[in-house]
Amino acid sequence: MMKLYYEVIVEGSFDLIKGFVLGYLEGSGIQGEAIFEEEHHVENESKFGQLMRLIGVKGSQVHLIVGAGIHNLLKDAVSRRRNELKIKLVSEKEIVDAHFDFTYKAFAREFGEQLKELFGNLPEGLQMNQGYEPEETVRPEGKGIEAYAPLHEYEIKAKGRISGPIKAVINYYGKVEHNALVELGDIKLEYKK
Amino acid sequence: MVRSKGLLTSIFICAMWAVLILIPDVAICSTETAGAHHGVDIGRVLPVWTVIPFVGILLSIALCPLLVPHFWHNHFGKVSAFWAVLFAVPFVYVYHGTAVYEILHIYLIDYIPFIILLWGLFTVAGGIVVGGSIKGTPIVNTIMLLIGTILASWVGTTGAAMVMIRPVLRANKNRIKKVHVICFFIFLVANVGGSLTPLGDPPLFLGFLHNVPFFWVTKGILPHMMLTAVILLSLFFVVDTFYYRKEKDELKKIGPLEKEPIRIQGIFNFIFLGGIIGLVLMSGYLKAGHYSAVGVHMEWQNTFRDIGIIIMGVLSLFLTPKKLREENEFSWFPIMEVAKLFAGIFMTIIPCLAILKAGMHGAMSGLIEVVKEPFHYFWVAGGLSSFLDNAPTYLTFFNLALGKLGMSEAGVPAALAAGTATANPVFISYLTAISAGSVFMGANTYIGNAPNFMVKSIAEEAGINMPSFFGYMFKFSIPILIPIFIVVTFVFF
Repeated sequence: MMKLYYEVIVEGSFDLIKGFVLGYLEGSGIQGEAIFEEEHHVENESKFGQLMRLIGVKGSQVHLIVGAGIHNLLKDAVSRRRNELKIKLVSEKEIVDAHFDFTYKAFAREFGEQLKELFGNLPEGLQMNQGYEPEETVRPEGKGIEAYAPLHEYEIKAKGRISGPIKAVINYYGKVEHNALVELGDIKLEYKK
Repeated sequence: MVRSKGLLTSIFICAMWAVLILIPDVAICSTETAGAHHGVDIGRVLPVWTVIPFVGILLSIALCPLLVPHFWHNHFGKVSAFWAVLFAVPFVYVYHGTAVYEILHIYLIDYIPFIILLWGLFTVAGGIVVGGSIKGTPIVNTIMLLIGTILASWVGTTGAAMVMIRPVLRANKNRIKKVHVICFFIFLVANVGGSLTPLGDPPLFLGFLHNVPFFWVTKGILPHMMLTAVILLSLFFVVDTFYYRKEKDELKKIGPLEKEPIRIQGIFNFIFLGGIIGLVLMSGYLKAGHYSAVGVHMEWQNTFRDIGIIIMGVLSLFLTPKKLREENEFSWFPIMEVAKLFAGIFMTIIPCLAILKAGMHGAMSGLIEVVKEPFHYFWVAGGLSSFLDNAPTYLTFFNLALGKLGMSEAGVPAALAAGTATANPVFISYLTAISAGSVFMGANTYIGNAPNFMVKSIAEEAGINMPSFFGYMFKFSIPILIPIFIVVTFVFF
């Protein structure tokens, strides 16, 4: 059975809450991790929300992802320390899926093959959506270097969307994010209705 | 293939020369003042719309690679020919002998020597391979950019970019953030570095062909170049150090780069490079007399220079092992591009230069009125060089300055001899501003100078996700270069 994950939103400063959550897990001897969305390119706030926070209408909030079970323990712990630390649980939602969009472009066969391999063999659980079809163009007349009329001999470009369980998506995102030829959108979460 | 094509080109050029010298001056009379023949000073009578083909060809060079790259790659020569014919046919029809003289004059005096020099530098630089690889640390990268910057004034920005780009890419193979390395490479090696000699950048060689002394550029632009290069190199070191520290952990995961000792192959090409420099210098100082080729007044020392450069190029071609040229991906395509496009540029620039030379009597007197101060020249010549090719832009503003001050080209060396009775400080300040603006601001966009696109293209094929045309401008050139040029303006102009 697939492990369930929850997004827990806590009001308070990032450093305080990160310290509190990690300290709580460590101190309680709980085997489990907390993923702080801010550190993993997870889109968690609309532009309007960012603006509201910037002008002080909305307080700062920390979004974290934890496994089922831990979210209840964490919820209780936050409630217990609410007054001392001025932190507050805002919401908790079950995550059912996550996805991110990507595009890539390369101008050498060597990199084209690497990219096709990278996006062609996704880890178990992840799916490719949005009609991923790499477009390869070969123009023999573009071979060599040009100054005024640049044209690449080889070009590959593609776009798509990868979706799946949150943990697998985050892991895969971490694997491809340092590839200079790939441009990634933020990870978006889908919640249980 | 490369050798035989190169040899054929050089034989063709020499043969053309012989024919031109032997042909009698068929009813084409030459006078000392260009633009005034058969009693017609075309600069005073040509309307401003005659520069439309010139604007057309420059805009084609600027926009077509971005908008229709495939079409442009296959048909740029035809586009160039179209604009050239569009101007030449009515020009010859209306002005007959005067028009023919003007066309022959610009091709013999400007175009052919220009192409020969670029061909020579390109051929010689294309035989020099910097092999091996070292780790692309901030200090190593800064040193490589410095070497490229120095080299650019002696082998041309295209040659320096061709020689240095691959070692820079190899050194930074394992780096995660490397776009900034390539952008600073474009700033320094492909542009700013070429400002110290007429060999460095095509506009300065055009200045040399129009009587600007070889070392005037070195003395005149050195402070501007030093300030710009020092700021850029320091800034690069800071930025590269920041990224290097940030990605250090990731670099450890990737593992160390395979180190190979740095070695320079084809080193004997530096002898030919020295030969080219010597020949260009010789043509600036030796007075070997003159002759007439199809009615155009030619100087022997310039002909000796051009033949000498061809010999240097041919020697480099035959003595450099084929393998070295292959490592540089050397082909004649870039020089064919320059030859075809500049054939069109030099044809269509004729009315522009003639009108500007006519000064207040020409159809562009309004422009001459507006551009008054040295900093106007710096920014207007530079601004246009950012988007149009900098060589014709330089020539246009060079003539604008001459027209404004009522000077002729013959008076240029005396006017530039600072500290003498003949020196013209106003002209010196104008030409300094035009030279610095045209060369430096070629870095503002990918289309400002020929090597920019070449570097971008090579970097992309090496797996670097280079910014788009506007991405380069908004992320790199505008925030980095424009403030530096503002500093240069306040310090020098």
